[in-house]
Amino acid sequence: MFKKLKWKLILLLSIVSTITFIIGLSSALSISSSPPKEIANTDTTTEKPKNEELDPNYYNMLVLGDSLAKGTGDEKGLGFSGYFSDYWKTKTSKEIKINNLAINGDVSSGLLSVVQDSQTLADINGSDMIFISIGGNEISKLKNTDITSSTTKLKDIEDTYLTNLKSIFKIIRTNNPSSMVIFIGLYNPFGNGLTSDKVSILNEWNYQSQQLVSLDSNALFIPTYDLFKYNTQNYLAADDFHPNSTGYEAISGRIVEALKNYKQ
Amino acid sequence: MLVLVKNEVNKILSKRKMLLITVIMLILVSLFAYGQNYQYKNTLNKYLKTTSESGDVAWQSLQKQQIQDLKNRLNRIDTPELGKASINIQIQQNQYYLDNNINPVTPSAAKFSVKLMEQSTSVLLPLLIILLASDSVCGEFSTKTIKVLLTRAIPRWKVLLSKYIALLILFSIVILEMAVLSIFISGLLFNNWGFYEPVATGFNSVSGTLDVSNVIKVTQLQYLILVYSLGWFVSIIIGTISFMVSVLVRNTATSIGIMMATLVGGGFLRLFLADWPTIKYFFPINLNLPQYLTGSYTPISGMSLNFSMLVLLTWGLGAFIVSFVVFTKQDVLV
Repeated sequence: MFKKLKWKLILLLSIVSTITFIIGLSSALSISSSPPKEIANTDTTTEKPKNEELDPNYYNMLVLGDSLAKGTGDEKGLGFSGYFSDYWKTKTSKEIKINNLAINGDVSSGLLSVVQDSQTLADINGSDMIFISIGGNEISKLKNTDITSSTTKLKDIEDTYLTNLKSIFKIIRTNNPSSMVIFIGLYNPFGNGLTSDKVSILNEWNYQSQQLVSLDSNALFIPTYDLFKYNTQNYLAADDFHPNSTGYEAISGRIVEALKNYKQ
Repeated sequence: MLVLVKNEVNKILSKRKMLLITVIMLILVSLFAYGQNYQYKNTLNKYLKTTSESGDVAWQSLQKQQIQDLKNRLNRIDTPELGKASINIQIQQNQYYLDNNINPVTPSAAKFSVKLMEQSTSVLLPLLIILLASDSVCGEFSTKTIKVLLTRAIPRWKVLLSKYIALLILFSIVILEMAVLSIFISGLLFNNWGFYEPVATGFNSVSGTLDVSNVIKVTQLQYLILVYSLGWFVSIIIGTISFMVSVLVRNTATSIGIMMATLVGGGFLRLFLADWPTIKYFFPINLNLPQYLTGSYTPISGMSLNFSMLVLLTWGLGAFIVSFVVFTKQDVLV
């Protein structure tokens, strides 16, 4: 009795599934071999992509910029934003969410196009704190250039950088007037490999950035030049360019120090 | 005829092979589902620094960060050229999902089951099928029951056909079982069924870029059926080939060995001989059918779903004919 039932069950199941599979197979074939259709287009227009608003129940941190913002070189993979959020947990009642949109090797023009993207604008809008690190890749070419012959060119690079930075700040402020913006200054990873005239260019660069940041009432420039000057041995990763975890922790410590009494 | 088929099905069932296959699937599916869940939590933790259990995580920001990460990988000098093309496609696909508001990250039972089939069509599923089919004829030789079978007043082709149909019935059951097991186990684990979430299919990767003009949106349930149908097709072809091998050799171990070697060796062929165009006519290369639906990168150009299915079908038909001709013509000396 049971055996007979089992056989019938098996037969039934297999016939049903076989029919299903044959139907599935033919539709798979029709999907893959159909010529370009309008369906895809009409479908996307009816269901407009909406930009997700960030959850206001969280304390949203947005990280923009280059590899330093990304946390490259940190063996723990946290970056300064990771260490900083560990501290900031004690200051805010909300849970912290970090959104890291940094791109390794990015320059100011790249960051400008990231910031102009509609997806990023939504993120900027909902963020409570925005970190920016940029410019390092533009100026790192400095080490191997002969400045006596290319001072004008360098000036051009600096000018475009400053205009880009200005536009970035403008876009951030039009979308989010209240968030804290923290700008990380540049350090000299080459130590004595950089001649003093080039060091002064770096400092000039940092000074210009700081001037620009200080125009904004709710932004902070975090200098790192002094932090790394005598610490490159301990603060730099194996590539002798990016900070290691101790270096990132030191940067984060600076931000912590600066925001110790900051009321949101 | 139906009685013969029933008899053959009972023969296979009495060897407890289905039970073995069920146990193997049960163990693997549970492990995979657990791993998937674990990995997802890790990713969340890594990108968003949250470990919230709630279902509504901001997958958009997760997706954005993953795209950014892929872009970073693209910019590294040590990424091989071949890998760059596939990363490029991945980026475009992720961007498409983001633009169309389709959530590809949060795990659900439907998504997991689709992924399971996608991953197992090239090795795991064929192995289960080989387990089932490889001793169907040669087993009769090893146990000397072939004499009893062939001295009946039934033509030889009928004997063989009943065996073949019995196998086909069980292949369908195996695929069904796989679907049911993976849906239930992962559904219980993820607590998210997700059958009616949209999914995009019909991506076409042409020389490193993604062609989205053909993309249509279906529900996960429909997509699940599509992918499992492809798995069913693959299992029939592998089953037929392995059926032929079991007619040709007289020993179960040899039969399993030959099929496994072909399958695993075929996978290596893809690695070593990717530049050799003839390779696309070998059946082990064409087993990964679901990749054409997801639009992942194919290292050998000129391959499409229709092409692969045609190649597989040709192999299957050839194997079918060979097994019937050989079985009806050969001398049985036992």
